[in-house]
Amino acid sequence: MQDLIELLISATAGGCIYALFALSYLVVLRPTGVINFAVGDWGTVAAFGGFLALSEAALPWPIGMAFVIIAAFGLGWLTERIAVRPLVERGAPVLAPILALLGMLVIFREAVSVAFGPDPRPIPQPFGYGRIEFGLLAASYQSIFIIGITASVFVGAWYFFERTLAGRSFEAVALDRRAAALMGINLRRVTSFAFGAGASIAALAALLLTPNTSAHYLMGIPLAIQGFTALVIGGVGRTEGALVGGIILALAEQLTMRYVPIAPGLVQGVPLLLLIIFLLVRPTGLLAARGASA
Amino acid sequence: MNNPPGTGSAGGPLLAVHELTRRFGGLTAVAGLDFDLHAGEVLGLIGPNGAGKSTTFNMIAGTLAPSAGQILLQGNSVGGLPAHAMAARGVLRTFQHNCLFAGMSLRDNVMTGMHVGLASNLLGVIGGIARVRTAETAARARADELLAFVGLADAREQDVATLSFGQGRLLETARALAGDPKLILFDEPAAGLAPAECERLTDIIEQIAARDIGVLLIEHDMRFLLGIADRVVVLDHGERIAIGLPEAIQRDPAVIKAYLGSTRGVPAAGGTHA
Amino acid sequence: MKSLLQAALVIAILSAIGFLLGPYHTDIYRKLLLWIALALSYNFLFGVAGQVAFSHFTFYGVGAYAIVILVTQAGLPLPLAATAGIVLCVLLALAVAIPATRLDGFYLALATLALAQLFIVFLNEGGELTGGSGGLTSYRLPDVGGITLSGPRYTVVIVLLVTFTWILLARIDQSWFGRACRAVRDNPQAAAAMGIDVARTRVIAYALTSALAGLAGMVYAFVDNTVSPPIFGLENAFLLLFMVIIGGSGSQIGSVIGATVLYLLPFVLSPLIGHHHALVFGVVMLLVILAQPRGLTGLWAARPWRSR
Repeated sequence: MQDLIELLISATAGGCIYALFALSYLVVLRPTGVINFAVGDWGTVAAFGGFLALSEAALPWPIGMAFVIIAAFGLGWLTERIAVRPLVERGAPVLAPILALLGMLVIFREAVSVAFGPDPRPIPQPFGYGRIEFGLLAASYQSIFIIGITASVFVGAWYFFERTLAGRSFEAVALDRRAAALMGINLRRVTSFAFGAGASIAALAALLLTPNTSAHYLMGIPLAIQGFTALVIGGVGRTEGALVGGIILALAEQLTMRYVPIAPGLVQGVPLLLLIIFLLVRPTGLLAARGASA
Repeated sequence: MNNPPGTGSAGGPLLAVHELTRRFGGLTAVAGLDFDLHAGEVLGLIGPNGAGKSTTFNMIAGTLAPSAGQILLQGNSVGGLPAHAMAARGVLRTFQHNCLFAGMSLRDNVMTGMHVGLASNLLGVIGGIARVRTAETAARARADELLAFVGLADAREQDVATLSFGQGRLLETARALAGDPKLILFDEPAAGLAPAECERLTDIIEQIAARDIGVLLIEHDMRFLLGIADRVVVLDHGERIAIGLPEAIQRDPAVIKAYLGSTRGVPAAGGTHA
Repeated sequence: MKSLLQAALVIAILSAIGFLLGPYHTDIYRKLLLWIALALSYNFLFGVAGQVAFSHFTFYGVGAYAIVILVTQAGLPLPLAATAGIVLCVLLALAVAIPATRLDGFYLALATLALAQLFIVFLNEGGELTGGSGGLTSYRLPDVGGITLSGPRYTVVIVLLVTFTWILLARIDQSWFGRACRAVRDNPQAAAAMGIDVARTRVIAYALTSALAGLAGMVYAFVDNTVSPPIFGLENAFLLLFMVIIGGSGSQIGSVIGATVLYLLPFVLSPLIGHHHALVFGVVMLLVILAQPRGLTGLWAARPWRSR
């Protein structure tokens, strides 16, 4: 029983990472309608930023984390400036920025590979490798840390989107760009902010993940797919959908690995199958947001 | 040609709309609409903003399914068919904001309008069989004829990006004609056109009707509409409040009231784009 | 008649090159031709029909693995195995495309991204059937009509594949179907108003190009007489997308140029920058999207020194 609870908690922690990447997509998708596959590689760049700040420079965790997240905001801002804004202002079809962001994905990944080589780089655990045991409850410090941080990020995101004027302006831009402009919402600023915030969230997710997995230049695409799967499962209409989707995905993965007698390699197929099934059976998640923006 | 509704001409009406209704949630956009349209007739559909013109238009074009009621094309029920199936049955349309195929020449745009007539077995295309090639050659010649008809023959090789808005509207008209229409739907054709372009378009629409093609127009520009329509249907709040000849419509008190909300008279000479 | 002569001439020249090259250059030449064949069909899917899919290499792989498995493990004669492989590709393509193209947006991109990854998982875990991560090796092409197709003769087979792909797609592109595909790409609503069945057009374009990728995969299977998972992954799918965009999407000659430049560039660049040519590709592809959406062919068409 304790074993199962520990499994559930570590799966939830894994799901939180997916959920944060889903949120990173969502923050960009809401105001711009752009699906940004580069979220995973924002994470890669941030993970190596974490390696420099936390392992090389050995900064204390809170300072190193803050440093990387702020730098990531700049990275997201720059991404928008380079690969999105020129196309939007030229009136290019919506496909163009999505393809340009695919180009950015490759540039990020290859730049990291040039700078750091193909070997994985370690990131220290913020609280060491200890774990809590309390009755039936058992979990590693890192799992608790991930769940706590993710929960507060989602509470903040939910509050921002549902309760603040600035968050509502994100919706307004998505619903009708012209009307939003008439209402005095600064489209450029909203878009810049969306990309900056998206990159910061991806960076946070990478910093939470890499103490367990190490930073590697190829880590981006799997994360991008898992984050996306979480988004599709949860639906883009609601902020909390990303969280629910991420946790469902991770539970499905972990429980399959533990209880279904298939080769470990095949477990990698679980999120992909889930993504395909959800796209086929319940495609309204994404459609709802698109319908609203039409 | 201007038979009152219901009496019908020799072959019956081309288009008949019975009790046509469309609801969006609790809102009824079109409520029990009736009218018919004969081959060679130009029928205008007018009304204030939100009267249900566009909803009616979209139901006939196949982009919206009716909630209730019937749309009959030559006596066959076509209500609820998707847009491409309506086009295949000879109901072609233009768009209010030109929807041209960017990155194609004018000629290719018009030839795209011939899709239904040209579509054949793909294996024949791959095999390059003679029948496919002659059909393609004939289609090219026909596209050039249609471009000449709307006065764009000189630009036929150009990319559509080079066209002015008014020329784009003419190209849309040629593209709709390419589909061998029984009925053409014009969505606010005069919107955004200069007076000279309006006259040109009026002339073209009259020639289209003279070929025994039915024409349904929705339009804001009253002067343009009253100058061209054989009959006019007036909608308000989703219901038909008047139907008849343009001159009668202009004097109809119900129309004056609905259209202006005042007693200043229908702006026969004061359309927004005139 | 004239076009038939042209095709015969092109086949003769491209085949003759195959007879002149040594083993090292033959290998490069064959793989370049295969990239061109893939770029041509992917160009039709992405550039003409406007569908973003990451499954082209998956179908390449389905074709390659299918023919090897059917010939060596099931013992089918070659023509039957080839037919079955194509049928398999078409069925898989329909299973993906019918649900995915029913909806607008990027469902196809997402579904095919997952499919591409899933395919690699399947290849790695397929046991005896797929040979796992090592793939399938040590098989050979059965004789066709008593002729052993090897060496330059097999290069001719690849040349025929490329010309067949070119001619087939050129004919379709210049037909009502090519116009319908471009219309659906540019404006689905207006396309439907012209009587074009948008979903059906998308599904046919996807199934057709996927079958062509599968066909190319069958030819590839006997180039090295080995098939293994890494070839059919997402990396190459991205590279293919870059080839078409950089060459000029929507243009067949652009695809040939894009495939040639991007395939050969690493041979030129690796003495200078080692294995980091992917970074160069990323930068070039970004610059092309930003500066010249019609790619290298667009650059040529817009050349400033051209007399008007």
